[in-house]
Amino acid sequence: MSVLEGVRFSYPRTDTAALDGVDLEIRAGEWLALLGPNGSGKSTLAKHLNALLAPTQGVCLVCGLDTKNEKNLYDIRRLVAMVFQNPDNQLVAAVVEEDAAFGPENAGLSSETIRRRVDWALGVCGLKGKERSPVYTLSGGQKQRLAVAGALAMEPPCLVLDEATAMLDPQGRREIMDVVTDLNRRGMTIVQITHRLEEVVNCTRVAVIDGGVLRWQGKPLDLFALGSERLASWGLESPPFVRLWQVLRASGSLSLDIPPGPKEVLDALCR
Amino acid sequence: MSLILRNVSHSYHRGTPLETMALRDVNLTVEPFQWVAVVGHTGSGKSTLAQHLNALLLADEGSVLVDGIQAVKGSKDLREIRRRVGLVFQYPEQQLFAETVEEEMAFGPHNWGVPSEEIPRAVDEALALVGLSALPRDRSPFSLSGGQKRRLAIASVLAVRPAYLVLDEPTAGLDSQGRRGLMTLIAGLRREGIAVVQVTHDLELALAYCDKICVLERGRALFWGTPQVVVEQLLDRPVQGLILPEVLAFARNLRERGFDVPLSWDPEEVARAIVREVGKCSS
Repeated sequence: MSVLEGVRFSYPRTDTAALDGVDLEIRAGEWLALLGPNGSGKSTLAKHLNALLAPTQGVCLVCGLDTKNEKNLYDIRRLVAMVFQNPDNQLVAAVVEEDAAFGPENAGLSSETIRRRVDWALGVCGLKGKERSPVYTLSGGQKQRLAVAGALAMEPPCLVLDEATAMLDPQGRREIMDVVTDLNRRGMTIVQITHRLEEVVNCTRVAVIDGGVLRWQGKPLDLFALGSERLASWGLESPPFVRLWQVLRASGSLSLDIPPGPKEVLDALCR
Repeated sequence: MSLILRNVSHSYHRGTPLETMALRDVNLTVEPFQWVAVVGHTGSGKSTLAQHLNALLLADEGSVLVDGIQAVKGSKDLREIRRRVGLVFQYPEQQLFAETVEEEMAFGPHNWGVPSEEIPRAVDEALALVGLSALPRDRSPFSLSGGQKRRLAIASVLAVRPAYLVLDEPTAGLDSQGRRGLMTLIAGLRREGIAVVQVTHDLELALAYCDKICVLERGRALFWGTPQVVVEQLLDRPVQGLILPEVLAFARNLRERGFDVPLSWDPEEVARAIVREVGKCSS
């Protein structure tokens, strides 16, 4: 899907590199979580994935298209859709269905196609029945799902979520994660930027970034198994239940292939 | 000296078809040196409650007393209440407006009529409280990092030297380090004698740090007490939209299956008990 090779990036008028030599491959159909603390460079990396930023050094290719070449920008942005942290910054229309239709309308699609896509996108995001609702009547979780729907209406093969759950309450976070899980099952490539370890449990692969450098890549279970201290050195904190799992695992009471979820641990202990 | 809510009720759009009751008969007491959490689901009335604490909203029924001063509509005392109770909104960094850190910080004390010669000291002390003493005073607030901006916004409220500080979702959007940093900051404020009321939907955070917790559900203060007391109540009766700490729910589940583990939300404590239990079985 996308390839980053030796990507370095510095913001204008700064000396420090926000990204300091990143090699990363994003495979079609996977759900990649980019994990890192505030200021680690994860959002900067995300913005490279749809050419909002281009590398100062190195190469970033999206489906073989170089993000440094301006002629590729239109195609790249149709391939990779972004959803940001604050839905209020991303929603443009006053009514739910109009907002979801904004992208396809701008792309000059036929009315039927727009209708079909909007219905589909709102359905996937659980907003059926809200088509005519004013955007301001939506809850935070609903607004963020509308932002996802707006991105989906362009039918992109890849969706990048940049801390898309950071401003939501636990209920809203769960709503977004359910939508993302569903989309990935349908074959969409997902790149999820987050600092919450509990959100990466179900993804295919995790890449940890800190100080603009990729520190670790692998499966979520292997990441959790590294233990709290190692994670803390990258500015990451294990959620409470994962800490419990880590202690049990270190004591030999659990095997590694059990996910750090209450149900799995309970089943294993009661066996 | 305390902040007291007695049987407070509040409705929005009163007397119209849109009337909604946001607070119903709420009682709450905040004493000096106390760190109180107000916990509830989105829409439970948390922010409405917070705005009653400094008389930004006034109770339809019941009374709010701040160090013995009652919040009454039109009263001159409202000003004194607002000076004693500093209110920090959600995402306070969005309210930064001045061109320099110095101006940002001096705005509050200046507005409250603190004599000019005393303002620099108030500013220094407030910046020290949030760990920003080293910040160049001529820097633009907008050039700071997100975490620094939030600290600066909190410091600008502290510069008026409130006795009580009310923070609405102060950890929203922060990562785990930022969250812990902010909790350390609040613990420091409490040591200085400032009572803190923290509005949050994060029960786990409230259990870990606060002295007392008020659980709101649809505008009612359902539970009130120390973390241990509130947890026992929550285990008896679930609250809409409030998720029990995963570790606690897990511990309860284990107990129901005959494991001898404590009803605790501390992962290490529960894990150690499980290891003991597993050891018993295998030996």
